Amino acid sequence: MSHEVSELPLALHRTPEGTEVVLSDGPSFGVVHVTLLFGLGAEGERHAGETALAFELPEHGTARLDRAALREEIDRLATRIRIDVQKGHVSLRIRALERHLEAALCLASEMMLEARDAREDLSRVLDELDEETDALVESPDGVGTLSLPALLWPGLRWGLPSFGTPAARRCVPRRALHARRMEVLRAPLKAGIAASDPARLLPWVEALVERLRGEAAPVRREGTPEGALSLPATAPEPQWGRALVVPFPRAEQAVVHAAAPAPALGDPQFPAIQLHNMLFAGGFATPLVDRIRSQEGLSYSVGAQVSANHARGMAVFSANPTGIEAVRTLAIAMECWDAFRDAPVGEDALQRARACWLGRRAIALETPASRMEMALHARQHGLSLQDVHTRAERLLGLTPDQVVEAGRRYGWHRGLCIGIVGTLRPGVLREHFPKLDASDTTPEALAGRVS
Amino acid sequence: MRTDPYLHEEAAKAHLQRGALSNGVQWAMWPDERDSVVSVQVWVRTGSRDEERGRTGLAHMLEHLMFRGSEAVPDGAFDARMEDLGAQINAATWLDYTFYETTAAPAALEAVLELEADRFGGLALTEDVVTTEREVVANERRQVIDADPVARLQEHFQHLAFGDGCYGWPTIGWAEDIAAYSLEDVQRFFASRYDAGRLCVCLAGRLDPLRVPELLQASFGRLRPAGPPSRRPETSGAGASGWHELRLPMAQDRILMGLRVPGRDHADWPAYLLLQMALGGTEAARLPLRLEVEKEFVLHVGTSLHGHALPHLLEISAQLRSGREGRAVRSEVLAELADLAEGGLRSDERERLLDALEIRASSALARSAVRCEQMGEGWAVADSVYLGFEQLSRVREVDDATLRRCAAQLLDDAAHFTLHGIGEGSREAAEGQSDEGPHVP
Repeated sequence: MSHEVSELPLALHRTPEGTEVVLSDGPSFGVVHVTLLFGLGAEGERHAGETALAFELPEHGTARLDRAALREEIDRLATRIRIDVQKGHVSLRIRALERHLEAALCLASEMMLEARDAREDLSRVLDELDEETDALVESPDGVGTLSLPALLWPGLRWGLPSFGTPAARRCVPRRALHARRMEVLRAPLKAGIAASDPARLLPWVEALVERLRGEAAPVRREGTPEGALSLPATAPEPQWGRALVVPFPRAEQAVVHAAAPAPALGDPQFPAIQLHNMLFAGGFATPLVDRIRSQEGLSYSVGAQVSANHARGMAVFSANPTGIEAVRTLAIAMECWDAFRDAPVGEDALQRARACWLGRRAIALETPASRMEMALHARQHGLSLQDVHTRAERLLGLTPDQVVEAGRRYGWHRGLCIGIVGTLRPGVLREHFPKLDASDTTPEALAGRVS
Repeated sequence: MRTDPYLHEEAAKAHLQRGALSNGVQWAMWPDERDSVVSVQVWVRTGSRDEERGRTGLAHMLEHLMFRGSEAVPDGAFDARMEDLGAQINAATWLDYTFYETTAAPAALEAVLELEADRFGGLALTEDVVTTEREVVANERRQVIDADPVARLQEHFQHLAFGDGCYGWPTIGWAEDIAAYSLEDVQRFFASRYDAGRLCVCLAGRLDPLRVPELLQASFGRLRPAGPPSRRPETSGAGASGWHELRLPMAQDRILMGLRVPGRDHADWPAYLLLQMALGGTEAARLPLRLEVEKEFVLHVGTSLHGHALPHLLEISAQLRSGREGRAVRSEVLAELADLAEGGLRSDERERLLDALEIRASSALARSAVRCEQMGEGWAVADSVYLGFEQLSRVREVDDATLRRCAAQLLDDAAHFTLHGIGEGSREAAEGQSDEGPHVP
């Protein structure tokens, strides 16, 4: 039994100026979601953390409104305005009651165009980021968010969080922040509106785009595929064959990651790879989760995923065993993978994986806002709405042989990096993974808090 | 001030239906043909409040074991069959209730109800399964509590608030209690606490409202009829007042403040919700503006009010900036409460807070699972599936005198207490102030 694969209530509109707007219709009880995606993010910034800082400061005041007054205005409009910086894009998301929408969009454009960038604001933001970084490394889970990128891209910007390190972000010149914002606003953009009858609201979103863009035409990066927002941000190839241990003596529980190469989202076999991964680790009845959690009781949280990244794919296993069991958990996970990857796939198991995938997709597409986000993500990479509509059908048409063949193209036998946040018995990592080049560091060093 | 009806409340009145099966199982549904999925949640009026000292966390342990096999559906098969249906499943336990949720394709409804009813009819557990799952729960506790100093602070805070009363122990249980669970413990708890009279099946999404009652009767109607209602603890526990301290390996100090409020179905509860919003429910609420922006005492401050069945807490939590005084935070809270007790809300403040509540309620209800949660939680804590949907109108009706009276009550020394989490390495830790140790049950 599986979910129906039906047309989604999505449409594409193009404004007279050429801006593409995804329209997502559905019941919304008077709430409107508007998203703008700008095709320029942190990748290529001149100073590490510059883009994130540039878009943090708008929350601290505009030329007209100081920080308190800005918060009061946001509250008065009962709106939520979020700016998010990723490597490949910047997103502006506004949620508002329809009766406040016009004013909320005006306020959002004021924040983007007229942020105060005051010296005291920047100083405060830098101090707060330092303190938030310190809080992040209070627990193994927090340290784990830093250790995995650092493991994969040591010494590179890709290995750092979007805000950079405390030292690096203090090197960002204040005058560079406004310039970076303007650079992002001049990048190509795509927009989305999620509401009941969203086409009614187009004039306001068009006005927002016009205010943000001004007279300037969008600056497209050379090589951007037709229809796409930008070139996908491309991570360097990780350095496989390494292990990074971060001792954490004050907690018995550890965090473990095992990363492996995988094809990227744009690869034609990606749906088959996703299905293969669902078979391996997509639910409680799958070999990985059943063995590690239900049979061995080693970890409450356990899973493996193939990331939906357009430029550089990756598969990551993660779990939270005790420190004593950390290496054994990893060894069992690799054992499960080795047994699984060469095994044939039966039609029953494949049917279950399809059903799981469709079930998750149905929940992900349940609301107008989430449908809008999925459509924007597809359009960001030049995929059509038809691709969104037909993705499920393509997946349902895959055969067991196609899934097995795709499964040979990723996984932990093709490359391996292991990250452990926890305290290990000396020598245990070398016993189980003798070929890995192992090193260690501290939470403070990961956070850039060691001079 | 707006007086027109709220869209989500109107929708609830128009669509929500409820009923009861002959064996005592309650049900409620919100069908909507525009949905693409169905959500089914089985709510059990049993939570950690129904446990005993020495066996804390048993409700949560049982929640785990509900996935580990019945006579008809052996261990491992429940997950496999749900996955075959493309259903997404989960469960959660808290103080007053436990619920089991499934979201699936509309065509899978009958099969989902059969699987759910089967496990509520009885489990077939073995010692090995209990042993393994006990270790999973122990891992969970270590991961979400023991490894996280902020979670440990919160756990201590709760115990301070309610002492040895039924709200005073963590829902996940103390570590030594988890280690001691036996198969018999679980079987006894299931038999006494998962009675048909304690169940409510909530459904939302693309449902055929004419078919649902017959499907429910065919599945859950087979359960053994409800026996006489068993007693539940009716007092949450008496706890501390005043100022308390606890040292933990945190980067910054934290302040947790508890203000004692009545249970969810008390007539004054909407006033306390309005107070919670006024104090810290939005980014321009009184405490964030004062403590984050004006005085820069804290990185973050927020408030929460969960709406438990028995008297509980309006909670204030603050993450202090380095070198800032914890007592200053408490002073500001009490000053704002005094101002509210004296002058009530400003007119623009009230409208702003109501708008904030409205948008949160409206945007959440776009998901069928959230509609089920609202129905189920209202039933579990106050025997009303409409409770959550009517909340905003009730808050709007709170008059100024009631709000001021409630604020004044919170100022009484016995009505509040504060826990200062001293981060190791923070200024006050360096000055060596006195502290209490962590809780030992």
